[in-house]
Amino acid sequence: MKSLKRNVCFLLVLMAILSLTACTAKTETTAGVDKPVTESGTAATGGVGDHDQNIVMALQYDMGSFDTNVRWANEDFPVYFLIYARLFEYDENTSAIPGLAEEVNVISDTETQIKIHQGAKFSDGSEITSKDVAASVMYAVESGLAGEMLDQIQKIDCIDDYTLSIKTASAYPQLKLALADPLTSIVPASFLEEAKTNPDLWSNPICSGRYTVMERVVGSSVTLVPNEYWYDEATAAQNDSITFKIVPEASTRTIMVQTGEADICDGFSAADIESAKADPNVAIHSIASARYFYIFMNCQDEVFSNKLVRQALNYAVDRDAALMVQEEGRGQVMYDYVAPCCMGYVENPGNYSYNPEKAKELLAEAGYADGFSFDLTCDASFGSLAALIQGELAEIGVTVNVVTVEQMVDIIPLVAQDQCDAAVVAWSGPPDDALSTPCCLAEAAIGANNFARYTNAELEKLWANSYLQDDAARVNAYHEWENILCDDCPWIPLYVNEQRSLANADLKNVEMCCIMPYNLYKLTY
Amino acid sequence: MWKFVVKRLLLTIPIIIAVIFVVFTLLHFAPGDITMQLLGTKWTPEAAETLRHELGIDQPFMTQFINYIKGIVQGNFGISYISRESVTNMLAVSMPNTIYILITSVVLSIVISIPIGILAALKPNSVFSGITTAFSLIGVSAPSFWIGLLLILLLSLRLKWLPASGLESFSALIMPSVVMSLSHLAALSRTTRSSMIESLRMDYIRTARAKGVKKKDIVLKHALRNALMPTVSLVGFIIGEMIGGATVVETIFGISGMGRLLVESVNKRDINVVLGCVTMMAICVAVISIVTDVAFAYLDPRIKAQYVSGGKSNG
Repeated sequence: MKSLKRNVCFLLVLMAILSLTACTAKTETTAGVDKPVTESGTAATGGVGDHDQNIVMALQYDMGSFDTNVRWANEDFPVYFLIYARLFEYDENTSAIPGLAEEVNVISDTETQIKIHQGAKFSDGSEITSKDVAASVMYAVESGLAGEMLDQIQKIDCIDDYTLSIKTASAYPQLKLALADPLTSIVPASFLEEAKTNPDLWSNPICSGRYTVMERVVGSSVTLVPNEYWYDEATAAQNDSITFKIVPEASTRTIMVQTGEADICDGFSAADIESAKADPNVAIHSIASARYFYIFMNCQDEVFSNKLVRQALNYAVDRDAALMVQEEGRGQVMYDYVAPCCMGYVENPGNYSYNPEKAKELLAEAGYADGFSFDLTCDASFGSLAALIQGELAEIGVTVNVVTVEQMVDIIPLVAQDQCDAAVVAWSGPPDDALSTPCCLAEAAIGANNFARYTNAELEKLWANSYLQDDAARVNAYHEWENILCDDCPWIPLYVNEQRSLANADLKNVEMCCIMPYNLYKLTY
Repeated sequence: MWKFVVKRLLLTIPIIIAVIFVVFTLLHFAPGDITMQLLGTKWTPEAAETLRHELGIDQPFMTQFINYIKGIVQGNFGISYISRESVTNMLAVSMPNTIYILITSVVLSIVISIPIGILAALKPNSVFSGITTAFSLIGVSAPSFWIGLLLILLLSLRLKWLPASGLESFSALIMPSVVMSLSHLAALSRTTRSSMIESLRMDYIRTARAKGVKKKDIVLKHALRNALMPTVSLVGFIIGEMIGGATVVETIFGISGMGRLLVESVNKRDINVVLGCVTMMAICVAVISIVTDVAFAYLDPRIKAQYVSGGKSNG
């Protein structure tokens, strides 16, 4: 008995020592941010690790394939942006800025001529011509993966070796944005032709971007080195190499940056923020992301077909609490139907707020004074959010049954088969409202992205006439339909989360855009 | 003896085919759809059907299974639906990493637990026995991901002794191996201890002591060999368990191993990769089982004689 007691005491002391040695400080929540923010340690004495120019970035997910049109997935883009050129590139709001395109001439509403830089070369030394660009863009159009972004492109003609003529089905002021899409990455036309019968060629892609692939170990790492044939010295790679290491565990990625094993990481967890702030060797970089979280309501359902019910639920949900529960308060609450980085965004077009009393009034007006019940579907990562909403809606007499699916994509067939009352989903749409809301809410998208099965004839007309060349006129058009949407409420917009990255404090030129750390070619010590 | 080994190898083939069939069936009928992963929000029933035809997964179940077995016989595990890489290449990259961790974990477990078991058997109620019991209990009770993260915080961040991730150097192998071996140290050392105690009570040990044989020789030459039988059996079982259980360690330490590849592929419904991983794991477990049996034969001549005679008893 004595030895048992001794063993137990020893065990407890040992566990206590282990925990105290390794545990971090208590976390505090902080307010959201809506522009790039860098937070450094209190006594910034500089980063750790040997500061060579071989940049190591720890990523959560591995990329899929170098084939640009196998799937549309954010995991592929950090590499695509570096190894492939495109006619246009993204700025921090994912708006389009010139890339390989040197000159743009709008010939008519349906024809745009683009002249590319002369002398630009692929990594094998061959010149990039209009034929390669045309083949690459049409490859993306034909794959259908970019959907509405590239659907408008009908035909591309090569006027000469460096000039293309792009014809669209109708006026398409978002053409530059479409040509910045990573799926339009430029590869040699001959390579595309050969790869049709020999897909293995994609393992060793011919690159048009600032980098070329030195090595890829699937599931482990991708190493890129500067492309000696990059055409513009001013925008060439400023480091000697970039290695992406795949490390699924967030805490391990954080520690890798803190120890100097990695120079920067993505997917920096909110749980590690306080420990990172206390470390003078690292800096946190953040920006409101384009990832938009919302609840859609099936507008063809008997209860949700009533606009007043949908409006009531918009007043019944506390978005600040939702942001706190899911993202520890880091991000931005949403009332609009596009993300803050999107053209046309307005903070709160419908003047909604958390107002349970107003919600009850609207429900009573709709004939549901006694409440009703519905199923709310979500994946396991939204368990806390679903529980919060369940509690908030219970206060106004609405019973929520939470249905959990394994992954968010499992909701898609439920919606396609009209078996979903409402669900929590996320969306990272194009940064232009004309491409974003019709994609999610047009009648033609029912069974696809229009999860809410929403229809509005007035909006359909407005969308059809929204392709205005003048930016200011377009924004006014966007505001008009956002007002309609906020009145109709097919969704309960919740929040956008934060795009966060942790980097070595000495690392220069860390830039964030709303989808990922980007312009990695500028990273240097 | 070789006949026995060859016979066991041949018997393994139908077992592995049966394992593949079970897993293939489960994956085929499990909910979830690879087309959703590939098409994402572009998923429509029509696009999904086109993609299924392209991938060959719209064919009847048995046709798909037979085609898969034919491919394996030719060494072709198919192509990953997500990365479009050859599954054979993916396994060739990930399997060695898992094996490195496995070997070092097993060696570490054996090197630590057997001496501890022996000493604990020789001094059953001592302080040493209590301390080892306590450590063993920590190892078996604490979750491996928790121990892994604590070790990273302590040894990588605070002390900067070891790298936090990867397998680029031998030092990177230390923490993953320690984490994987900790949970099995308790079982191995306790098994060794109890079988040593039993062995030391046997009459032939008393005779050896009476004859004046040194204590070291009694323990190491006479008692240990008999006491190792249950331990060897347990090591074989543990290796099989470690092959599947390496996922957590590989995820925490950012190691591209077979366990992590398997779990990620299950999440993405990448059927070919899942089947490839399961097939390789089944083969590894079968081989380990044969090696364990051979080890028994080496340790106990009576068992070797049984194998040689084909299981017929003498007399």
